Amino acid sequence: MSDPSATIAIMTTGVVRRVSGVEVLAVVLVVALGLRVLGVDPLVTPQLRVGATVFVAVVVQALPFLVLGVLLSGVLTAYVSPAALRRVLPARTGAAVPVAVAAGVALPGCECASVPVARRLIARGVPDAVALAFLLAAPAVNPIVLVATAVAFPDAPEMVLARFVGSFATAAVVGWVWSRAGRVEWIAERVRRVPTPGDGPRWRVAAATARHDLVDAGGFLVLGGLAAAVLTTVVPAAWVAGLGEQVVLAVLVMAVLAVVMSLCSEGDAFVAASLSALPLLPRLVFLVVGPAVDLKLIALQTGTFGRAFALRFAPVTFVVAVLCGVGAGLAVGLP
Amino acid sequence: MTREVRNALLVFVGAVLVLIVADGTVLHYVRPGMAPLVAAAGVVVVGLALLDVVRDLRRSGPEDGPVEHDHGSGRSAWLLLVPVLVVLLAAPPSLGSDAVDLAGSRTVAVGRAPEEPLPPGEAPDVPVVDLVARAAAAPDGGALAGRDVTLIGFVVPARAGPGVDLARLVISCCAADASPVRVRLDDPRGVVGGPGSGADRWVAARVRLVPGTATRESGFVPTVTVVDAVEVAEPTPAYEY
Repeated sequence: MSDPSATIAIMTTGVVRRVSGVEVLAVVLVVALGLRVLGVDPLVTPQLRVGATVFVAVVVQALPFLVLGVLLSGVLTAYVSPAALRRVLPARTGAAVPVAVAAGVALPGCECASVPVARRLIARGVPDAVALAFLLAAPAVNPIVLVATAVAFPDAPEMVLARFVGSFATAAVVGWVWSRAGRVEWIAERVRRVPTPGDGPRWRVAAATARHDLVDAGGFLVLGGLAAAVLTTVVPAAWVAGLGEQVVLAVLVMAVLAVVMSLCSEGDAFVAASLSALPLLPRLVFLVVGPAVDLKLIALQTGTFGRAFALRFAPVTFVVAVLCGVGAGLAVGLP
Repeated sequence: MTREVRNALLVFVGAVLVLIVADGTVLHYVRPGMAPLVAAAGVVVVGLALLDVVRDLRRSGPEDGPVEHDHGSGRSAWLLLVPVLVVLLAAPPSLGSDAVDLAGSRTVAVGRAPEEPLPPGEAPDVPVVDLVARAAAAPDGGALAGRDVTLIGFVVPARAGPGVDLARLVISCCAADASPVRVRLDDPRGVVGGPGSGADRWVAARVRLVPGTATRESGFVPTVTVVDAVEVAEPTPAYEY
């Protein structure tokens, strides 16, 4: 992986000199502080003001959970042996998938936290499909999310059950689909690379893993936050207006909106509740799709598992989540 | 990106997280409950970077044993600089009327009417979201019937027709999920005045609910009669929860 700063070559007196990253960093920060001192306010339009706040909010909200996730992944790498994981999980992948989903239920986490953990599960020899089922389940069906949903929909308690069923089914179905159709080479080879053992004390291995995962995922989290902020400020208001009657269209629009807005799973129920002009079914789909696939997650997964993976996983998850959401809604009898 | 740059970058990111908690700007972005987590994350990020720096300093030279195949990171890591710069340069403010405009017709969900009675006093402070929920839950006004209350919010053009509304943003997780909540001001004497140009105009308005106005037809936006109003500074936090 070449460094952009290292490829910037400056001609000084005929000699090609390479600019180091540290120098780039220093110059950028000095320029930024200079502009700040001069009182330059770059947020000149309403869209920029809102977009900047939303962007920083998405990143600031997600970073503590990402940090928690990378710490967990570090501990997992340094302290949990592959043999121990094999003992816990059923040997057959098909049976291990629902176990992983259930583990996700018990482990409250933001979607950002589960990405690095799933990565290190794969590195520790857990089958891809099982780790991915966990990845989808952890943010979507934990107690915190379900309680938040109940609070947001006081008049429709069936939303909680429908959300649980829809998200559980999404994680399990995607896991099974992946165990049938998934290919090993779709996941970037670096994911399976195990840090060499005997590399100093275990806490140091844990710290190195955490640092590595944090930087790998963090840049892409920023990318996802940027995309979410831009699209949130340009798109939704007009989209949702006047969808109340067309349920099929409303389901699709809400599914896309869930991907675009990239809300955290603890808060999305309140946004869904605020869209009171819509029937409950499209709003349920919004809640099932959001934690499974959104721009922030696609970016994180691209950074963690590679582009070939994200290109396949995101569309599959999107389709499965929409179907499971609709199915769960109809089964529970949502209007 | 080399390990040195990566570590410097991580220190910046972590320091900014701690900084925004220390100076309170973190409340522009997330709920107050998240602030300790943000600060803790900042400390951990700085700590992770410093562990590596200390190790570098201890080691006299790079030939000193294999380095856990740690070549630093790919170029995507540079993106971490973007939020740091945005915060340092622009310090994005709390969302206000701009976000209300962008949210279109979306208003916060009603139905969670508080059970407890209104606070005592002549015109107690009541959150806007609280008043809207109570008004929607009780067509006759419930606890609000015949009581004066004080609302704090910013002035926005009315949703329909002339006049102005008083609005506030409600967040449940972070500013990305902010939903507007508003009341229509019946203000024949014009004590509230118009919306601010440029920055938002915040007012504390002593109002009385007009019972039966928070209906489905009005989008659960109740009408209140303004008794008195004074201009105030933007409160901290600017959101309701």
